[in-house]
Amino acid sequence: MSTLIDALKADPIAERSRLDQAAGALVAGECEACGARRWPRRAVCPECGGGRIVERPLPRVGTLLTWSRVWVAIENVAPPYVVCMIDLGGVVVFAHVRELILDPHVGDRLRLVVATGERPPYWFVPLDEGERMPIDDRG
Amino acid sequence: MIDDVEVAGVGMHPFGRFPERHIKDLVRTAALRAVIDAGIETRDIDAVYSANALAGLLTGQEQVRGQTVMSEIGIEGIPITNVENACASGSTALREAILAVRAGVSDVVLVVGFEKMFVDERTITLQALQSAADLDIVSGLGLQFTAVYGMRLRKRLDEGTLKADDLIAAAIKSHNHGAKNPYAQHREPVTAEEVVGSRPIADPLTLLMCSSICDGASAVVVARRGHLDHGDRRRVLVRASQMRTARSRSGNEASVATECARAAYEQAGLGPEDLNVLEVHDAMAPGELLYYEQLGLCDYGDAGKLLHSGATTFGGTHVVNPSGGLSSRGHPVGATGLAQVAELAWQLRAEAGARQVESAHLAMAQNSGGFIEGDSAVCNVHILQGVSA
Repeated sequence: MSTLIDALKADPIAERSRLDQAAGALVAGECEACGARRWPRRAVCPECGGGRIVERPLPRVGTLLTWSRVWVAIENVAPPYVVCMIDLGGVVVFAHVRELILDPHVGDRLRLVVATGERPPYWFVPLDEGERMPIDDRG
Repeated sequence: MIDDVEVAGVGMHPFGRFPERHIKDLVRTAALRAVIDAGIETRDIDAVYSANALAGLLTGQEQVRGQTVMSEIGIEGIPITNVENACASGSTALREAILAVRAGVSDVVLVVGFEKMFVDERTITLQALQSAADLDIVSGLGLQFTAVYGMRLRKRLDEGTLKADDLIAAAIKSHNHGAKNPYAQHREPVTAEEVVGSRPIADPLTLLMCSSICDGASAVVVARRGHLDHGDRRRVLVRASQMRTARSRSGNEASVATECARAAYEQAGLGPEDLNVLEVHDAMAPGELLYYEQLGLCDYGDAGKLLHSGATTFGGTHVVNPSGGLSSRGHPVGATGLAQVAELAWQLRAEAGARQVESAHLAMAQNSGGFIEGDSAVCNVHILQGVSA
């Protein structure tokens, strides 16, 4: 039975949460039918066409897939800045990387920072080796 | 299988900087050249597909762009459809024209692609280019195309499946080819020192590895096979026309270009080994290396080897971007997809002069556009075949 009717009732984009400041996490959508996750949350699952999507917070630590340091100014982002693709428990997200001392490497572990007043309201920083990971960060 | 559609005529306005020319001027040159090349008059055209991505943001002409440029060459009354798919607008318009002929609705269709990107403030153009990604998601990140390609290449460099030398060699090859192309924006060879020493844009890309802001126009006349007479001239047949949209990343899916090329090979009943010449979407010159793999010219990890073997430059078995590609020919967004087809038509008709690929009879054009979820949003692949009259 089609669940597309449920998708009609999805909350509007402007009201749909993408991050949880209190939890310090990005909030993805998880398909009730097949478990596929996407960030930001969508109304219909791209993998199975399911229309029932629930919120799922993503891990706050991820693995760096790739990055680039940009030297050309755009939309009020002052160069140089670092953009990256990061894997947060199987979900790929684009973000800035800040507080770098040296160049990052593919495979580095990075920690999410959420600051809802800023634009963009989230970025990643290197994870300290000695930092303890809360148990609820398992991906 | 497609067996009833041909590319009957092609034409281009040179790519470069033309501040004194209006988009109507650019289109007039390209469109009339294509119409004359097809041996027809404007009254013989049944429909028009007009490709343009940025004129809305850059000139204010957000709507009915196709109708405005066609009015300059007296084309009225017939269906004119405006097409936008970011950098893949040109090939998307071509796909529509092919479908119209295959559907039996039109016999002769004019396809035009044009862009005027040089405006008073360069930052306006750079900002406009950002709209090729989902602004709802990436706005504020400064995720420029250069950075997107930079990230793709970084992953490969880190992995060891590409070397810095390969990136430099791709830029050198592109400029060597562009130097032979009177329509190209950049027509001077470059050295490795110049490539490495040029301004850093988005690591590992430097200025001389990237395509430039550019003005230009190109046009193609598509016709039902046999409808128009071209005398002794070799025919250019359409053997495949495929389009795909990217899938959002959840694992190691094949890229949109890989999926699209597979479908095109299947439609044409061919494999990559059968191709002689390709025009691929090197918005950054080293992007060509990724497409060698995605289009099946070599296995993953062998792109550098293929480039250094000479197989993809003149004299090789699979000449890639004889025109200089996007990075040397220039990349006026709406015009690029049709400029690829113009080049391949000249190649297949043995009319490419100093750029002629020997015995070119099977060609592929791969044109990608936009950015979504880590991949190009759209890809179109066309396969063309040259046959004697």
